[in-house]
Amino acid sequence: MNTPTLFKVNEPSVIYETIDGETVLMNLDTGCFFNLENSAEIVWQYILETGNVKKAIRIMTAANRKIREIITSSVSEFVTLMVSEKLLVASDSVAASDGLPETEEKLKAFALKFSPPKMNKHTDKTFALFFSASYFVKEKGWPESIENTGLIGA
Amino acid sequence: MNKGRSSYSVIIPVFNGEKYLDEAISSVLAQTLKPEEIIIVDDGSTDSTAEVVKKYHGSVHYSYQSNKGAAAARNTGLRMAQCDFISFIDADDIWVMDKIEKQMRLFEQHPEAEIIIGLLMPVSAKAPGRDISKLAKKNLLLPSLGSSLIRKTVFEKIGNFDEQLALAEDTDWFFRARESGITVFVQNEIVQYYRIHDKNSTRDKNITNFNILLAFKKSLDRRRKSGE
Repeated sequence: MNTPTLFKVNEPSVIYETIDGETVLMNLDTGCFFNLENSAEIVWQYILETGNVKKAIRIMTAANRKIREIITSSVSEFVTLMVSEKLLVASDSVAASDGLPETEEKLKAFALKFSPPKMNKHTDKTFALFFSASYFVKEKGWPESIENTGLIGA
Repeated sequence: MNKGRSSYSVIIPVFNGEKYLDEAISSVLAQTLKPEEIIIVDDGSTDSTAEVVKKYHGSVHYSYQSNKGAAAARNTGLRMAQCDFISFIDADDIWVMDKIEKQMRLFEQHPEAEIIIGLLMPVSAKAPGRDISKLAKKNLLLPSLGSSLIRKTVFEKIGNFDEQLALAEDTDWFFRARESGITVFVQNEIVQYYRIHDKNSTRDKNITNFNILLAFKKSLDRRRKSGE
């Protein structure tokens, strides 16, 4: 089985913005919110520009060969996680052959002071706000995506 | 004014809502448990919204302000509201007839509840006919002011709506309510029909989505500050 090289955002299901320097995302289908930390921000930005994860890894490992295995595994895991959350999907085409020069420079900079990309998923009661009728709720308490445990009213 | 335990205020913020406002007001007046007051806050309409409201008297109160946005209009209504329970309805939506009666009964059965949230059903404005229940698509449960009945004390606890938000001021408010540990009960009944049409304030998805994410970011920052 071939591992995909190219990815794109799973639009229109996924919306995202960078606000005050922080990238936040929401999967409209699941109602889950996410925020990105550490090198996740710049890896995400490079995927937006080119879709090419392998090239992002290549740029980063070239900048910091000492930890190339850590970079490769952690970035790959990050992308796998984003795919599992349906934030990214495999793509047939590359968005652009190269990222913006400033993005590639930031990838190198992040590689030199590398922190593994981190994505936080918010499905606790505070952030799980959007549901379809397939989600049932507890009698008391904020809505959660759990099985039907009894409803008040009808 | 009877401000007994079952008295409630309805706040209707409106901007250029002439097309559907009459139906919205009628659905409130048709409630099996009558409202104590209906406060219509006209947020600088340039159409015939004021004319639509003129034919209503008694419990219907009208307030005009220059255009400041939905959050500001809701807050104006809150400052005017006299009752212990608050509900909102948008100028293009409709309540089912016994929404308030059933929600008030749930408050009596669950006195610890601070917000009751019912289900809303999106309906398309494009199909003909007035029986919009037949137009309904799938049920939605989401924190909607229009499908809720709220104790006024909740606003005293968590504050009013954020006027910096162009949209999603309700989403932001619900985030704050949850962060503050407000007690919520969910009612498994459709209480509101949410009309989808070409003049929805949320029709521009880019602006809507940005404001939803902004509300989430604000919530995230608050939680970090509080050490969560």
